[in-house]
Amino acid sequence: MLESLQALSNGFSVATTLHNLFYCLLGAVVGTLVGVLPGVGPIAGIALLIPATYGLEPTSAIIMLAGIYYGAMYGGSTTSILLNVPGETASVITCLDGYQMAQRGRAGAALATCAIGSFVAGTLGIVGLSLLAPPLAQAALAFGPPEYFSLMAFGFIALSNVTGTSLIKSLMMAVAGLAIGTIGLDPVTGEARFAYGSDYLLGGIEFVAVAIGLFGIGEVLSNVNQPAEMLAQAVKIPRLRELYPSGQDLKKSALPILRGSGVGFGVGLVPGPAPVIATYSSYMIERKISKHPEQFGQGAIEGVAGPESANNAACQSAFIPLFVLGIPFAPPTAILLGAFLIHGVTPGPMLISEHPNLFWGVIASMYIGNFILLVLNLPFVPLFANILRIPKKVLLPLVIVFCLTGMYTVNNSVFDIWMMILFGVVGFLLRRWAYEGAPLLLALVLGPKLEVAFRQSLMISHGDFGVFVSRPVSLAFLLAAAAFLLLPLCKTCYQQLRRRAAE
Amino acid sequence: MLRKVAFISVALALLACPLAMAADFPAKEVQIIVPWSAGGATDLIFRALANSTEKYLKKPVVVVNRPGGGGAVGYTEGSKARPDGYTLTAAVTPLTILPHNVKTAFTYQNFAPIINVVSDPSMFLVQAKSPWKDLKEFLAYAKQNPNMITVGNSGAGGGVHLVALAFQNAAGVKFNHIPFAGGGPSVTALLGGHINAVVVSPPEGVPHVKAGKLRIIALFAAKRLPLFPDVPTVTEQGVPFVMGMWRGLVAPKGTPPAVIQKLHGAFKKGMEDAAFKKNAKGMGINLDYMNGAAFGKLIADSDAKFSALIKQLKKK
Amino acid sequence: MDKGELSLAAIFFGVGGVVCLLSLTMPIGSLRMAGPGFFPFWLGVVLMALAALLFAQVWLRGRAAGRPAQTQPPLAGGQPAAPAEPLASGQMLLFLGVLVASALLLGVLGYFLTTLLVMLSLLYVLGSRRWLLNLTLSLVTAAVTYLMFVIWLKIPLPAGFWAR
Repeated sequence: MLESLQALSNGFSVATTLHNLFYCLLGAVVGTLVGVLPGVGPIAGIALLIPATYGLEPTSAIIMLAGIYYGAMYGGSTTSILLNVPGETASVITCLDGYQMAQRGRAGAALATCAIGSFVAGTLGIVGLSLLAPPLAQAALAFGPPEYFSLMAFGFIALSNVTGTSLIKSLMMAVAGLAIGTIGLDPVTGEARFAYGSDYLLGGIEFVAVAIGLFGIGEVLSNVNQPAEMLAQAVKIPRLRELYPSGQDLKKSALPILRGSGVGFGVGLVPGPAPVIATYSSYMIERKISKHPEQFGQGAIEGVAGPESANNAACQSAFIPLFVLGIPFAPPTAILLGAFLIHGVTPGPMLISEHPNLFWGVIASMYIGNFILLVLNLPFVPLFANILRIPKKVLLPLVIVFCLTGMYTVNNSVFDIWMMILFGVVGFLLRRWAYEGAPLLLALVLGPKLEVAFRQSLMISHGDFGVFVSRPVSLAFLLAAAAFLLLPLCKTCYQQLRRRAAE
Repeated sequence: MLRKVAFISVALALLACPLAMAADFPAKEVQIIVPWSAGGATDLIFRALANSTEKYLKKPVVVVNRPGGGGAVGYTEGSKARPDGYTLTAAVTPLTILPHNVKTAFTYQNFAPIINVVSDPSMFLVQAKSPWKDLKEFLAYAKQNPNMITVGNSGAGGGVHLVALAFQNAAGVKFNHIPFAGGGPSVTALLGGHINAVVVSPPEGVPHVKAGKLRIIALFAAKRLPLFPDVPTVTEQGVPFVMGMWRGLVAPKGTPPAVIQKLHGAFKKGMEDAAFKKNAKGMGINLDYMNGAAFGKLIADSDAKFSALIKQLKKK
Repeated sequence: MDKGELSLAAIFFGVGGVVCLLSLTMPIGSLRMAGPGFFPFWLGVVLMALAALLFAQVWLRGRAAGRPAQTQPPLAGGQPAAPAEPLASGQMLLFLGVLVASALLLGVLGYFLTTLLVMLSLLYVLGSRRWLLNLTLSLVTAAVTYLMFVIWLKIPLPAGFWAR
């Protein structure tokens, strides 16, 4: 521990050279920008800037590229809150309460809470990263296909009823999402499923198309369907003193931010779409322990603070497997791995001993970068919140252009735009009859991974189902899933019995 | 009649175009379609190459990612691009695998080869603490326990999966093949002890071999790797088998030979550029220059191999 | 009785059925070696079961109460499928039409022109009739997004048919 602190202070002397501070700032700015733009996420941002780093020395290059990654986590929630357009997987859940807050004139509070939560969680994440990286990476290796399957099964059961409307409808949405996720190449046998000769379907349905469609376009269409006089108005305009969160808001958000940081950091160590699982889990936890769960989905600040923190903490802990094992658990870290390699540095078990200045310099730059991001983001809050002053009849076309452009840039594909429009119509219809889009999106992301883990486990065990219950970690998740499923059922049965008895 | 005349004149004009073009090619930027997402190994290699080739081509070289369908989306688009030398495609082993696995609108014959850039021999890795010390022990165990050794690969029907299948044919054993979503996850599963072995391309496993966590148990190269001169190839150990992944550049069929010649020259200089060489070394990839003709033969051979292999698989 | 609610449940039931049938064209496999059709098949079955359950729930509650069933949309969007209100207003259909047209035109006209036209027509559909303002706004939007994506971020957007 003491050694780590010593090394970290060396790292700070590397990171605080004027040169490296500049690249840290540059990374943070670009990251915030690509985070705000829908479609262009951290992956595209890093890929586009790798060639620009060829002339730099490795430490500066990695400092900047890592900055893009965690910087994007700050900006990601902006369009979710203002426009109900989730730019990436991690910010879907922020739409639920963030957008409702904005509709109630509290966009400023929501945006500022995100920035503060991101800062706290990011910083806590780096503390974990700098102190505990090697042992945590070893622990992460214990997750094999059976554990992975059980974790995700637990996730589905616990999270399918995200906002607490009809349980049946939420489950239907989750199953529909799983079904959509099976389109494309079967990950186990490599055969085409539901593709019917289309190259585009062969690649599967793009998640961002479904997300922007169901949430963004669906919301715009619902708005357009309103009488004309509604359209002439703007969204409820925030008053100046409401641009930043009140003391009460901060008090309410403090614990969710800390809990979100913990959940996010833990989940970030697990291979796969960690930010998704982290944000959904944090949201569910906050709703479960809240004294007023009915406010969730109606603009509860806890529902913004928790998931946004979880998202950033997960982003920081995702660096651990990359640095210590040299293995990326998610696409953004995969491209960072590429960046390391192109600069002749191989992350992995030898990184800390072979390149101590680079490793600790990058870690130290993350502390600085997070601070820069907070300072950078807070002044933008009033600017962004004022976007909602634009009357809807002007704002809605702008949102459409934003969605179209963002969608196209994900894969440079017009087919994705068709999918986005299709899911926009679906989202419009579902919204009308109170179906929730979030479980569908969750299922779409996790479904293919769940299926692969299930089939991998059985292939490894030669068809023996015991593999799921004979391993302690896996068993624990399955028991937790069963508890989540059975408890509400028992509760309703019990209440029905009592009601009968009373009659 | 008028329409016919118009049609013919347009057709003639199009035909004449390439002839006029070869002399002053390139007049504008050249695009390289990479049929995978930004940030993958293929993407990184061609971005680096594009960067170092610009100064020899004297026009920008831009990488365009068209991911989807395991490469099918990008290859379809690349095969349908105008054969004028301005739209090239990154050709990687799956180009010769996909058409046999699923129905595609292209085969390798829709493309004209320009240059090969990389050839990576595939290999099997096991944990350093595993009981198998060499290929002989590994294969002996596999023979006695068919279907028991779990071998992770980076995706069903993908390149290294088929290499593993071809190797088990060559060695006369049977493995239990477990597909993962990429080389990273399969190596993670091996490090965690959830599977017995993995089949990978060098960049994915080399750092762990260097760190002493994993061991190369079977190397399918023609000669030993410069990084590990002590590790013998499988051919040296009595199983004649050489297979790996290649990455090169192709143009749509019908591109004028003069244009291809010009592109080949520029990219060859780009490959020899010191900056590119340094990037390639960092990534642990094995640069392997081949001219258009040799690359064309490599692609055709690879296609024949995979065609036979997949036919045999599907029969089962 | 909420007709919309019931028909949507019926549609989901149908979708589940179709998924099942289509999955059957692929190998289902066994539990030990689940085939490509295994997961989708069971997903279809579960979707049908859930849809049937929802249908029954809505039907029974509707009959018991004699009025719209329990689930009211909590979000904005007015009354759920009250017979008097049309499902989609003409304005919304026009708006949707512009979206579809934009997807068709993007490859032909290129990014800049398409964006300009989309902005202009959407503003018109939503009732803005100040032409000069509309035109300025559309030009600025198209130019700013174009500059940001194509010039600054160097992301290739469709250039249009005349670009080659």
